[in-house]
Amino acid sequence: MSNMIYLQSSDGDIFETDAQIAKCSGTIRFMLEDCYMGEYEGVLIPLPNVNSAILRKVLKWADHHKDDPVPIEDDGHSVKQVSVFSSWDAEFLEVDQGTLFGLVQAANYLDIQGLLDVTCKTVANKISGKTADDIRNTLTTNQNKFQDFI
Amino acid sequence: MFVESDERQQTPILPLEILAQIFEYLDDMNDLKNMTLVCKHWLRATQVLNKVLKSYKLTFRFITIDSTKQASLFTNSNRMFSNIYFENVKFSSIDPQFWGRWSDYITDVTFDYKYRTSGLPGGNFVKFLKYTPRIKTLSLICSMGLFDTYFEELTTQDKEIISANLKNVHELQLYLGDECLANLKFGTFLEQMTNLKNIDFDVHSKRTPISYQARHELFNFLRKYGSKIKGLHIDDCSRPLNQLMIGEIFTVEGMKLKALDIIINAAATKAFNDFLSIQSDLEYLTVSGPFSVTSTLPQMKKLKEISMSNGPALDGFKAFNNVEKLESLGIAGLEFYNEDGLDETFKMNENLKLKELYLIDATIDFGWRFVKRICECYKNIRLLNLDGALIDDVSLPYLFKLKKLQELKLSRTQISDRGFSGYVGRRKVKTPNGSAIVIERPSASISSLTELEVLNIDFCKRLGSHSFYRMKLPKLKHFSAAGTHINGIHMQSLQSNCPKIESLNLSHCKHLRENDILAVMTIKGLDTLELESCPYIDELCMEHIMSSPRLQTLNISKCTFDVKLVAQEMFSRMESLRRIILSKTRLYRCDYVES
Repeated sequence: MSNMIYLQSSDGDIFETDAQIAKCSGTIRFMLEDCYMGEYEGVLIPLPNVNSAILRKVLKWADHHKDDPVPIEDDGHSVKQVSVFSSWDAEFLEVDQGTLFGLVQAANYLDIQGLLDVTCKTVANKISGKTADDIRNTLTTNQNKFQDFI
Repeated sequence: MFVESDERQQTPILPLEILAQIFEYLDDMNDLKNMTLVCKHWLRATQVLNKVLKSYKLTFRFITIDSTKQASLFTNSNRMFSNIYFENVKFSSIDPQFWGRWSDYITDVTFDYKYRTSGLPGGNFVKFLKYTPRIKTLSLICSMGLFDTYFEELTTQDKEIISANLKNVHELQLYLGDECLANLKFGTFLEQMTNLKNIDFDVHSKRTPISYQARHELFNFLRKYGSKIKGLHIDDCSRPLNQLMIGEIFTVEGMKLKALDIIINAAATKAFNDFLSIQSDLEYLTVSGPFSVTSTLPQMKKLKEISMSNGPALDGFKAFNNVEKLESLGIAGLEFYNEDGLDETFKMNENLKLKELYLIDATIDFGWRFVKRICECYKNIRLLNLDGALIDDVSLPYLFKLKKLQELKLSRTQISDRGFSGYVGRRKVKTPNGSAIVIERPSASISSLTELEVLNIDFCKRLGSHSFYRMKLPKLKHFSAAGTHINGIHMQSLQSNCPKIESLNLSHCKHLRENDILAVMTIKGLDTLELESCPYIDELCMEHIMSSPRLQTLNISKCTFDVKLVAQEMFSRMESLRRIILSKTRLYRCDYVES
């Protein structure tokens, strides 16, 4: 049984995806199960906080990880899943900084714990061992912009 | 969410909680330090992180501060502690590398030598402050004299560094015990704290009255730092302060207190009333002795906690009507009067902020109308202490309507099963055709308090089996039933009705025998058990207790056999056991078992 749903990015592009894949996102799962009461064949979900490029990547990640075991919940406390950093993930996250940060944000907004873990870890790896100046420089190419940033 | 307008600017600003989550993966202290320097936003993120991960208080108790030891202790720890508490610590050498790692995070330092034994503090502990450039709060508990001596002994270089660090101290807590008072001198290190904002000043003289000399020093200090003193607590051998002291304290200029704890007598009432009427910043007030509530309370708009004992008669709770911020109210040994008849007592206003109410030994007649009124006015109470109050079974059901109650103490009251576990009220009503029907109305019972976590029914001798069987409290953690008729046969229902029980106090239950203890040990989650003054507790009972896998604290004071003989075996057989409490001493695990 294929349950296709549609996701609309902030740019207005519409992505068709399997509901089973989209459900790795806590936000979407909640919407499908609570708002559409489980009858979500062909519904369109707008995601105003995620742009097309990022959403495409997120869906790619979700598709690859669709068979991952679901984290087991033990009497209310979700067990911190030890996310395995596969070589696929490492390759997948070899992206420019803007995209990486975008992925972090999207993972947070869409509530995808696995993606959030790996992206956060990647960012942490990138910034560890660097001086504050290094980080500032890599974060912003435009110094003037940085003034607003702080 | 993204930085707008500039196309090239693709790096979005990450929210604090996500940044904090990223920082969680950084294991190296230096990395984290660098992150704080990137920008304000990132600094804030590390502070959020501090709250989640590192707002731990680290206490060193009765150990030696030695450079080799600590480094090995914490090599793999990625926690940082902002609050360092040294209690009776012997300083032999301070490891600059170890403490330097945390130096940016230490904000609170305490040197506590309240129970000083010989050989302490061993070395110059003031040197520790070299590694605390961001210290905000310094607490000297019974250690001011030592601090002063060591400060003077420093080399010029160290003195300079430490003086610079002392400048950052905003809050100073001084606790002066008997030793400090015997030879009181306020040292020059105080002069270094130029940015001092708050001083918490505690004087505790337990054995000898405060001498003339000490008093002189105290008041010089009070006069000099009067405007900075926010907390004042003077205890002169638990007696009322004498006239001279009253005269001097209450005339210190510019003293705007936030917290005050004092014992006075009738002779000081007038001076005290005048003093209180200008203390508009007062938030916490503890007074033992008479003073005029009606004339001083309206001035204290910020008052959050008040506790009074041995004071004047009180005309109901209406005196507290205008204290809008009141959160905690304690009354002990006061008399309530109501000259104008009962109705006057009820003229209290609703106060939804009130969270704690202590009415200990009060000579208040807890008639049902009064209790009903209290429960209506103060319906958000979390803690209620009615130790020894004159409350009866008729009033009790009204109390059980306080749905938010988490802690309830009904010790030494005359309550019985009827009130405690509820009863069914029956009333006959005549129907139009002449026959009578009975209408049943069950009253509220202790089980209505679904949020209750702490319950104390010590010495409620009139409670029987019915109460213990019926009590159903899903959140109860601490249950104290000392000196009641509870015994082993109640334990099964206790276990199933109150599954969260962690600590149980069965002291003074003189009837407990071996089979009762066996039943007690079937309660799974128990980590604290108190069996003080239980005459039938013997070695056989200890065998049962030793089978417990979770017990951490055991109180077997005043039992009939020598505990010290079995302590070794207990500590080795019970891996969870941490301490055994006896009437005068405590046995700790570390003294018996090599870790």
